[in-house]
Amino acid sequence: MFKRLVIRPNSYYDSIALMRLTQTVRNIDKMVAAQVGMATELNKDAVREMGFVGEELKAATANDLIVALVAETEDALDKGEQVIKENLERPTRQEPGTKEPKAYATLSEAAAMDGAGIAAISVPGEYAARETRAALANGLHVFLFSDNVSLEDEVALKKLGQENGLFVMGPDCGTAVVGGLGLGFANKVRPGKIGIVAASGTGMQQVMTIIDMLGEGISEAIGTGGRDLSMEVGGITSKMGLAVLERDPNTAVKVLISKPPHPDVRESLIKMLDEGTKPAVVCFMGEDIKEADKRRSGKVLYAGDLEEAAILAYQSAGGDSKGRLYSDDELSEMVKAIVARGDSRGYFRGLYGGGTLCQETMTLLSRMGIDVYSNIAWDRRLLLEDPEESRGNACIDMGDDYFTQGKPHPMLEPGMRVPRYLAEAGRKDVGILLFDVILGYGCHSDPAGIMAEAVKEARRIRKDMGQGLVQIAVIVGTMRDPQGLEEQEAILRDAGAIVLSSNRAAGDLVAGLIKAQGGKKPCLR
Amino acid sequence: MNSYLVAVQHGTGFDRVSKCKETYRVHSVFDAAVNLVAESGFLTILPLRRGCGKDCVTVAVSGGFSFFALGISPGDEVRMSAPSKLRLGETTVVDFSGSRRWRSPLEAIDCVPSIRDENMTVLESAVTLNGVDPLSGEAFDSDTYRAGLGSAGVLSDIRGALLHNDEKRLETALARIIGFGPGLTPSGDDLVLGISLTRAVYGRFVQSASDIWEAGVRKNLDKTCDLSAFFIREALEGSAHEVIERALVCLLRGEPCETVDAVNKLISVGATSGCDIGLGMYLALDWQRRYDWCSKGW
Repeated sequence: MFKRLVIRPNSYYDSIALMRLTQTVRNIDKMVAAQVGMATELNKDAVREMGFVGEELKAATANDLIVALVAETEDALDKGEQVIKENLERPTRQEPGTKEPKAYATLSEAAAMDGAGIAAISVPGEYAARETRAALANGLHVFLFSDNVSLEDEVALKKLGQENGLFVMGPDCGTAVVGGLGLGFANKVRPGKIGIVAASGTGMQQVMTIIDMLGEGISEAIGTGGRDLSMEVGGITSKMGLAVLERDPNTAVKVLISKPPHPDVRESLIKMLDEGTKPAVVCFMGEDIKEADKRRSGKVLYAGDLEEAAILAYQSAGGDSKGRLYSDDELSEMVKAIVARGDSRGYFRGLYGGGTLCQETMTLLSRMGIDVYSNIAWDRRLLLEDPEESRGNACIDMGDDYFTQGKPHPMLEPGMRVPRYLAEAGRKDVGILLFDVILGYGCHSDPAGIMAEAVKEARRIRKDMGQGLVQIAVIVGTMRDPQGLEEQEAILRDAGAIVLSSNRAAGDLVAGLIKAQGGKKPCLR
Repeated sequence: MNSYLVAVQHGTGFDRVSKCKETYRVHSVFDAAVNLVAESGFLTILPLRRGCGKDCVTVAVSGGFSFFALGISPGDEVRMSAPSKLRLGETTVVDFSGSRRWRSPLEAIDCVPSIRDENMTVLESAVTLNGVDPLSGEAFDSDTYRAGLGSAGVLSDIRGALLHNDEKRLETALARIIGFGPGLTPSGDDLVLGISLTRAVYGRFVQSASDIWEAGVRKNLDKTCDLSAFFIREALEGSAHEVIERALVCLLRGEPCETVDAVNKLISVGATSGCDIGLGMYLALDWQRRYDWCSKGW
């Protein structure tokens, strides 16, 4: 018989790993016995009974791992030791990548690189204006991800860019697709005939992904930053973007997405679109569309929500006449089924990473006569005094500055929402939870995976409380996104969430559930 | 590479590190757990699905997440880098700002518990089905109930020593199981943990004149690894991981259907730990039912 003793000082491995390893080693041909465990006195006694002696064994302490092998051949021992080595020496530190991207000391140095056309800037706000000026001076368009840039700086930078024929997309610009290249949080969408200009990152993503789902694609998607359509900025980037789309031979339809602009800016934009040669779709989130506007002849179509904007753009680009992504019948069947289970009794709480999606839900519910409290409500009556404390039916933008000061945005780290999500799940007066899951480049690698764990935990909490809970996920993504749309949807469904691809549909479903409880006020147990 | 973990809930044990009372280091890193260690004991970081405990914090990660990806190693320094932010090594931050305080399921036990036969049957079946030999004669009074605890007659010795209030005999018997068996926490330790926790829960309502069980266990804790000894010490003081506490609460208060669920979760802990702890609970409850041992000053 051949024997070998291996002692690994201060080594800890979980029991399941040790058990599997022991079994694997025992299965090696000609292996007679294998013992793997902590070197306690009793375990050392067991090893001694296998015929092991010596100072090394005597010196081993209860915090050391002991491996004792007995085999018919030396070769079997070698194999056993090799298997143990491979399994126990798993590196805990990430090895540095072999292919490091080249780093430049300054923006000017990077700008000198052959073929550079756009600078993506995401330095802290106080330095962002300086770096943007440097980029513009080097003839680069700018994708300005940074926030906390003053309005004065924004105006000055955009004017400087405009004079030089250069875009300043931002500040606080979340998404753009330029020449097929995604910037910021961008989905992998198919190339196509629809061009977008948007003052909202997640709004743009929702429209792009629905267009992609319908079978059409994106020519260019230009982000402007949330203040572009204010009176001060005057829509400089939006107008430049719409002009580019007008000239672009690949673009057949223009889409403009924003919260309601300053009236003067709105007028000039609509005029510009009307005077263009291509059809245009406009979605001013939160704005009540006047029937007169809807019926207006001309090239501009008005959408009341992001899904409708995508569908109108798709139809204008020659797509077949589609209704909603989810029909009224489908949604009302879902409402009926949920109500029959009695799961939805209680207030609705939406916890969003995407601010525009949060705003859209509030707008949709408001149009149906349902008041929704929020930390970003425009109506002062509905503004939450304390963003940490929901009341009534509420929608929280967890990507708002209040929640992201010194912390990652929920699109980067979806776990940021989980404590609040579970706190809401633990409230007896809550019956419906809604959250968004944003896919694409730049976002978390497995957002559904994290939220699915929260969904399961929420179910457990509610089971203990003896109450049901409706959990709805809106997933914004495409089949080609790195996270995989179908995989992410399946993870959420398996966890017990209702998964929808349209925030509008989620809003309709929530409205149906609230109304089924008897209107604005929930029927509490 | 930097990793940001969001804490969802944490037990009171984490006050020791958050109030900078002690210097902690990373003790060990597993696929689904990170242990931190300081002079006073251990703290464990777990994914949400694994539940919490007095000395645990649960973090929001996806089902497939591995803590090996954090790039931290045993010995790495653990420090508060900002209020409610705990830095592990150079790469990982745990954000406690939204974390809720964990509440022990054992708080639900507010009077001397009664032991329901149906629940004992649930536990007996689960333990039997999961590797413990079928009962022979008295419940679990088998000399070789499982390979890891093969020492002849050890359970009979323990029971006998308790019945006769024989401190020396108990100490000797415990020396034959503490630190014995496979796994990070040896099988024998897990069994002792199950008995200790159950006894501690009864101890809240029963004044003991003496306590040879606790004394005997404490005297033998130097025979096992530090981590396992810590868990046993905590059990003697009436706390354990949530899954263990929940199973005990269900056994003492729950309906059989919810007990099945809780016991199944207990049994699935570790490779053999859950089963061994369940066996310990069964023994403690069975002795209580037969001999009222927790009330007799053992």
